[in-house]
Order: sequence, then C-alpha cells, then structure tokens
Amino acid sequence: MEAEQIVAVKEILEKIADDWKRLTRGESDRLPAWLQGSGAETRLGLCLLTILGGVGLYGASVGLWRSPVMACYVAVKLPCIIFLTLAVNGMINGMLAQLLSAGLSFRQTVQAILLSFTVFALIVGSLSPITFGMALNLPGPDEAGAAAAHRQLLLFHTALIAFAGIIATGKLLGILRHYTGSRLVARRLLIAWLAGNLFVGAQVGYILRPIFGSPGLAIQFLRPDAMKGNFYETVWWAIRETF
Amino acid sequence: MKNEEEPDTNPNDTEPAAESSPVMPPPIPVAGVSFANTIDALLKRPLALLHQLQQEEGTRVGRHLLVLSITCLGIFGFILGLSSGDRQLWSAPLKIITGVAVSGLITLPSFYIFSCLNGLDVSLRSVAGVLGASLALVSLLLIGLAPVLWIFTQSTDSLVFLGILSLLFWGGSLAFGLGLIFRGFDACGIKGGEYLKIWAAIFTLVTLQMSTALRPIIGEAETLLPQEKKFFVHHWMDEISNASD
Repeated sequence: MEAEQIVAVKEILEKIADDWKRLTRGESDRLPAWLQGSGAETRLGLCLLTILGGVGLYGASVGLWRSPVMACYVAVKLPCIIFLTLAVNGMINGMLAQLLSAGLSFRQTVQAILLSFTVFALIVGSLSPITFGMALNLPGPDEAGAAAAHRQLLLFHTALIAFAGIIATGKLLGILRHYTGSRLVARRLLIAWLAGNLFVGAQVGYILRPIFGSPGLAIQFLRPDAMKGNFYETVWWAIRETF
Repeated sequence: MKNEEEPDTNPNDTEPAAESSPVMPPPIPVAGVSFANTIDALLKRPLALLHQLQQEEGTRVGRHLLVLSITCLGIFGFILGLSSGDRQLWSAPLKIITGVAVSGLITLPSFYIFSCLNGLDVSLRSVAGVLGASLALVSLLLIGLAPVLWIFTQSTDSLVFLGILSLLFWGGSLAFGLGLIFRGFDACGIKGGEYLKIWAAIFTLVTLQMSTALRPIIGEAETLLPQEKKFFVHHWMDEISNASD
C-alpha cells in the first residue's frame, strides 16, 4: 500500500511539474485548452496553489530583511494583493473581454489572468532562494548602512517584480493571441486588463502596507491608517514636496 | 582534432536520441565511463558528457563530476589559504566548496524555470546535471590555474593583488563553465536564450556575493565568518582603500 501511495504521489508531482513547464514554455497552442475545459482540466487549483506558494515564499524573503515576523506578514499579504486585485477587477475585466470580442466568459477571464500570475509566481518563487540570501546578507535594519540597504532592496525588488510581470504578461499575450485568433484583439484586451489591474493593484498594495518595512517604523500587519488616503494621492504629494 | 558536433561516420555507432536537437555527438561508450574518461570528455567532448548525464550511466558520471568539483575546489582553496597559513589552510577550501555548492543550489530553481521560459523541454534532474557539469568544468579550470596562483601566493604579500587575481581566475573559468551551458542550449536548437543570459548574470552576482559573505578567504580575521554584512562591491572598495592607506 505504501509503495502504491509513493507511486501516486510521484505521478501527481510529475503532472504538476509538466503543467508548470507547459506554462513557462508558453505552449500557447495547448494552454487555451485549459481555458476551454472544465473541472480539473482548467488547472484552477494548481494556479491558486502555485500563486500561494511561489508568491508567498517570495513575500517572505521580501519581509525577512525587516524581521521574521514581517516575513510571515508579507508571505500572507503579497498573494492577497493578487487575489484582491482580481476580485475587485473581476467584473470589469470580464466585461472588457466581451466588449472587445475576445469570446471569453467571466470565468475564463479570471482563469486567463490567473495563468499569467502563475507564471509570475513561478519566476519570483524560483528566485526566492536568492532573495532570501540577499535579505540575510545585507546590513540589518539595526545596523550601520540600514538606510542604504533598504533603498537597495526596494529598487531590486521593484525591478524583479517588473521583470517577472513583463514575462508573465508576454505569456498571457501568447495565450490570448491563440485563443482569440486575432493579434489586435489580444493586444487590446491585454492592455485594457493591464491598465485596470495595475491601477487597482497599486492601491490594494498601498492599503496592505507595509510590504518592505521601513527601518524606523514599527512592525505591523497593517498600518492603523490603512484605509485613509490612497497611493496616487501619496505620489502626488511626494512630487509636490520634491519640486 | 575531431569536431564533436560533426556526426560520427562509423556506422557501428548509434546516433543518440536528442530532445529537440539537430545534431548530437555520440555518447561516451558505456565501458569507458571511468573517472579519467569523464575528465577527458569534460574538456574535449562536453556536449557528449551532457547527453550522457541524461542516460542510465548519468548517475555514475554525476558522481565523478561531484568528486572532481570537490577535489579541485578544495585544492584551489588550499593554495589560496597558503597566502595566510594557519586556519586559512582548512577554512579557505571549505569556504570555497561551500560557497560554490550553495550558489549552485540556490540558483538551480531559477535555472530550471528560466530554461523553460526559453522554450526548453527539460526536467529538473537534467538541468541539475547541466549545472553540475558546468561547475565541474569551472573547478577543473581553476585547478589548471592553481600553479600560477601558487607562484603568487609565495611571492607577494598584497592581499588586494591576490584577491584581484583570484577573481580574474574565477571570472575566466566561469566564462567557460557558462559557455558550456549556452552550447548545450544551442545543441537543443534554442538560439538566443535571453532568459538564460539573465540567469547567467544572476549566477555570477550570487557567486561574487557568496565570496564576501564567507570572507575572509584570503587574509586573516578574528572570526571564521564576518561579523558585518556587506555588499561585495563595498567590501572590495573598502579593502582597496585600506590597502592604499
């Protein structure tokens, strides 16, 4: 019985690895079948678990520099930013897909964007051993050079998230192009989704701050004034103060 | 000298199956999978070695590469340790072996993902084999440069100079090691490999930071590992500045 269980687990792991490989290779001729399928064929469970695992692990490495407690907080918050953004934008994304003649239902819209985030999760998750090493190697928040280390981490993680986001977006474009049969429709739809998700995502990230954890501020899951103000107001005032 | 990428004209040799490559060199004969043959293949027919790693004999070849890497890195580290003596004689080789092993392990997941992003249909095991072969080649080249290093450890007191020399040797050997990975990709029909280039840059940075995280490798210090965390560029600048004072 034990041998059978081991074989079954091995088969499941091989299937998962195969699906991950298909996603990262961007097999855009086979991936649209996941959008058209139902139940287990959609790989919805795999996408959710991969995002939770990959983005969670990466989030832990982001927060670790500040403290292990912060690592736990960010491991929870970073996947939440993705899921909350999708939940908030779900309706408008689905409507845009239909308005732009993409032929995607609301469920398929959510699924397509989840596939893209799964690629994102695989990239940042695979780089998390390195980002863990970074967090442990830079001067800590209570040491000399903390301010410079914090700035370096901010810049590095921003660049990494942008890099992973661009690749994930490119894979989504391939899937949409194949599914819709039109480069123009696929491109328009992608731009519309991206604009909406980035706009909402920035605000969701602002509400769920702190993510990086400034050395001078307390370690908290959420700031007491989380729902006061918004990301764009803060950027506006920062620009005004600067100039 | 035979070009290993040209098809073998001997009709008795079986052309090995390839994942998706136009031309693959014939594998090392099973009877010839000895330690000496593995080293020979690593230098002269590395693509055949990469192919061998995917076959049944792959485990034996993998063991040879592991032993080779540990031995060569250990000797190179010992020679570096000769510059300072005492504790460095055992800590330098230990740190170099540990640093390379940890660098390989923490970059392996990203190597696999980035290979898939480039369109390669591989398993984690096969990319681990490729990375292992690449690091074995780096180690072998370092041992080739070890006599040169020894001359300088015996004739100079300048730690900055030895540090720069070691980094140059590491950089040169790494270029060959990473070149093997790129050649493997080419043989599988993947041209360009933009994600692989990004991964190669990440791997290089990780190894350089690892050398700083495990300092001192040359020179002396009160503790085995550093008390202060530093970025490798800052560490180098500080050392050069201290030496100039």
